[in-house]
Amino acid sequence: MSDTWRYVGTRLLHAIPVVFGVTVATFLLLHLIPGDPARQLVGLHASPAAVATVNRRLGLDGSLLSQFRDFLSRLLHGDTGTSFFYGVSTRSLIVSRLPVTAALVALAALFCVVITLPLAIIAAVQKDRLTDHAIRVIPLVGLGMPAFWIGILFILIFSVKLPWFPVGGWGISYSDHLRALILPALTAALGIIPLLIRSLRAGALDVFNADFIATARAKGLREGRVLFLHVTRNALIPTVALLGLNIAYLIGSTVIVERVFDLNGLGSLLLEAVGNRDFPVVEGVTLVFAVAVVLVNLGTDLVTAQLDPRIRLR
Amino acid sequence: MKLPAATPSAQPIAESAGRHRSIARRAFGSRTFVAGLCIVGCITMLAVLAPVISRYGPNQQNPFHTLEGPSAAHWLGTDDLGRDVWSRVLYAGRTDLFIGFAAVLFPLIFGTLLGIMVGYFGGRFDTFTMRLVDVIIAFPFFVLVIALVFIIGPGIRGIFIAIALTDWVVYTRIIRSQTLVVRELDWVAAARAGGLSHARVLRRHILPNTIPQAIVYVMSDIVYVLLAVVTLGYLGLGIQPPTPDWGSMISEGQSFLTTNLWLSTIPGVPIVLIGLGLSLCADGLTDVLRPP
Amino acid sequence: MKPPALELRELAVEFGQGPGRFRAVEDVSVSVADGGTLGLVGESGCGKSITLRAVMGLLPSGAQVASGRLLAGGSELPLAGKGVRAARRRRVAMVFQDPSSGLNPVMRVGAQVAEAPRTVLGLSARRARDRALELLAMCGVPDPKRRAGAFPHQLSGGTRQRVMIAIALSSEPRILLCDEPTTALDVTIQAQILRLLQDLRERMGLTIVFVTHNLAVVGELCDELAVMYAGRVVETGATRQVLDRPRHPYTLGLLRSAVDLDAPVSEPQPIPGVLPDPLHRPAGCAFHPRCWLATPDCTVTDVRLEDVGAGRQSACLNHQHLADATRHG
Repeated sequence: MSDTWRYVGTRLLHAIPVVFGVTVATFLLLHLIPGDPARQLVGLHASPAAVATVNRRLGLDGSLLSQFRDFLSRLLHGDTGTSFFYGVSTRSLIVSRLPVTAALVALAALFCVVITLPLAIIAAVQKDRLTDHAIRVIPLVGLGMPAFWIGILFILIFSVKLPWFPVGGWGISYSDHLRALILPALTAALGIIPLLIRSLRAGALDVFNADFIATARAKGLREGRVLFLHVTRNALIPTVALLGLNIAYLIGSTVIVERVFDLNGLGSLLLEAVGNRDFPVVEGVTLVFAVAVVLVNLGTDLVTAQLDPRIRLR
Repeated sequence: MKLPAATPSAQPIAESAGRHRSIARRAFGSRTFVAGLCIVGCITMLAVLAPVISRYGPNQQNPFHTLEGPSAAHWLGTDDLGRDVWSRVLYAGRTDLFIGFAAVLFPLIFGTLLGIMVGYFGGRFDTFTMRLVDVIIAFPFFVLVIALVFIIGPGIRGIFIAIALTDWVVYTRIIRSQTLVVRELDWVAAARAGGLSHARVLRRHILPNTIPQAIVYVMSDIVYVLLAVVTLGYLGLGIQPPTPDWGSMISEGQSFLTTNLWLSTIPGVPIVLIGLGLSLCADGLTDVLRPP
Repeated sequence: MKPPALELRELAVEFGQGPGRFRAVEDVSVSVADGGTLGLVGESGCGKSITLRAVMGLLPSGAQVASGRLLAGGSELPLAGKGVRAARRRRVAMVFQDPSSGLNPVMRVGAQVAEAPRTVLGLSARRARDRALELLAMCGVPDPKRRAGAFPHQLSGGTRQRVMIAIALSSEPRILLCDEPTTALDVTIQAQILRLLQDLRERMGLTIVFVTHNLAVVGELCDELAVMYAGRVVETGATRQVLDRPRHPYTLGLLRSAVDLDAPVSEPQPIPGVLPDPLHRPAGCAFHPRCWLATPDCTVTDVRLEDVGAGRQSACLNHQHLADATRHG
């Protein structure tokens, strides 16, 4: 048991410098790249004094180092700035919108595993037969499908033509929320499922042909039990690991999915802020997204370790 | 950043460029590759010939014929401003495909060269670069691109810069790992012992052995970049109107989903087809490059 | 007289399709008496593992049984088709070669040993667990209770192989097929495992078929031997007799090429030449290109196993020559 805690501790320790790096990167990204957010805010013909005022308010005056010092000290106090547009702290905005995005990502991740794993195993069992070829078509066709287009098709089929799901929005009750999330989560998941299937098919084949599966069969176990217990349980490990590698992309795609389905999450907050030239919010949300990716990656590492005793036990 | 699936391993080569010619020949022997190439070729051809084959200009409005369905006069109907959808799809192809193919060039060249350098020389330069790569990969791709476009401004210029700043990392990673392998091969050591300068070794031995991997990845990368372009277009942050773009066409059509569904659905089809074609090319090339 | 525990008749196994099709195993017939031990020996690639897997019904994909019959205790066991595994349940079990890949890495070993008793024998969870501990103890696993809670990668190679044997025994078979179970182990552990198998055989009255390329191993464990070459059986007989007085040049070659620690110091002599390509077998006897006894008729006659007296069989046309030579040498 202490082995597991040691592993957790090590992973946490590794995550810290990455979080720091990401923070620095966000800062540099938004303060260093040429482009004048202040001027864009007040307009091209504004007076230098007006621009200077805005710069001061945005914290964009002063040397880069002093800017960074301010940025860091504010952050350590949990202050990510005040929204230009709304006038409230960006933190309160982020906190209010976070649950939607978090639920969306969680459901999408679940869909990824639940859809990819069975398909990969079926492709392995039916290797080179029709089902296998059909499954292998999915990555070919799916890789080029834009997420927003898939979302619109879903809306067309399942909300417009068939009244199964709401066209958009969040709803009121918990069950409303769930129904509202299904199509968006599926859309986001389909953004990476083709990639997952392509890689996992080989992994599932390895498990299927492994020696210990022959041992299980030799014991006299029925094939169903062999597949369900032994093959699936082992193929789950590379599935989760692969999901972890691609989860950054999944999290980023919530920006688009929330726009398509009109959900009030962090992604749509980012887009609104971009539209409103709301610099502090853009800064805050970008940072939150990046840190979230690091934390979620940590999470998937821990889940993988839980699934694979070879990692967490010596 | 979407990470690529398994990359093919390279083989040690003879020095001449003859090997590249033979790869090209074998590539054309692969049915998958040829099929993919045909698909990509057809669509690109249609896009290039847009001014010739379309019957209307992309921005030619006709207020008397708005939101019409497909007909003899307008093969794919008209949008809410009376513009011919078929012509707009073709012209949008010109813009989107051009950007898609062009925007990968910088990441390809820069990422490959950087990968070779850090892989070959190693040291602190290598450590620093890979930390940078890790940080960039930690950012969700679209969040990063949107933030960049926010700073730089929307439009074609913003897209090019955003892609240039973010897309090179995967090339560097792939090329670097391949360089690490090639660097240890016996004939490279022999070349160095024979007195070849670093530059020559890099140019004539390392580079030819690592480029194939980059070429295979670039096929998938064009798809990702194209998706980024049209997604930005959908969000209103990409190619600005009135220049037609598949993404913004889909976005404009979304309000008419219940009445004129093709406005939002049709422009996605060429994107999927290009993706299919390029995936087939990549798969075909991977098979060809796999060691026998 | 009791029917043999296992009787294989004219097994043929094919690989591949179309122009690449070949027979890895041809006309193999062996039998084992109840409670006996048969050693199946030969070089890598001679088809002995494939034969064993065919008997177990676990051929790899791409391979299929072309012909043959299998009888266990007189009753027929299907070699292919739907009922293959069901027929072997509780009758035949197999111990695989590599214990590091033969055990499920994410399942505790105790659970793996208890799985067959639970699902195949229908024992309750607690009784299955007890049975698993019993089996582990019987197979010489030290401190079975603690080991049962471990994962395979936490155990040593020798212990893992004992677990594999325990798993094989867990479905209460009468016949144990062993596919080179000691090849992946250290020499000292090898001896322990062999002793274990012998012990188990005596205690449980098992019938064992033991596949190996190591002649020293068969000398210890097996009553009878069948020597295979290029997919066919070339010689059979009681172990002592075959090893002391081989009746096939290939067997003699094998003996000469092995290092015998007990014999006076001598050079091991490898058999010149290489195994024939299964797609292009030589005409006549497959061994004739490498055989010093070869006569012109060896290159054309389709040799088969024949009785040569005293319960022995040989597939060599010139076996008598060998018999005379070794009697005097």
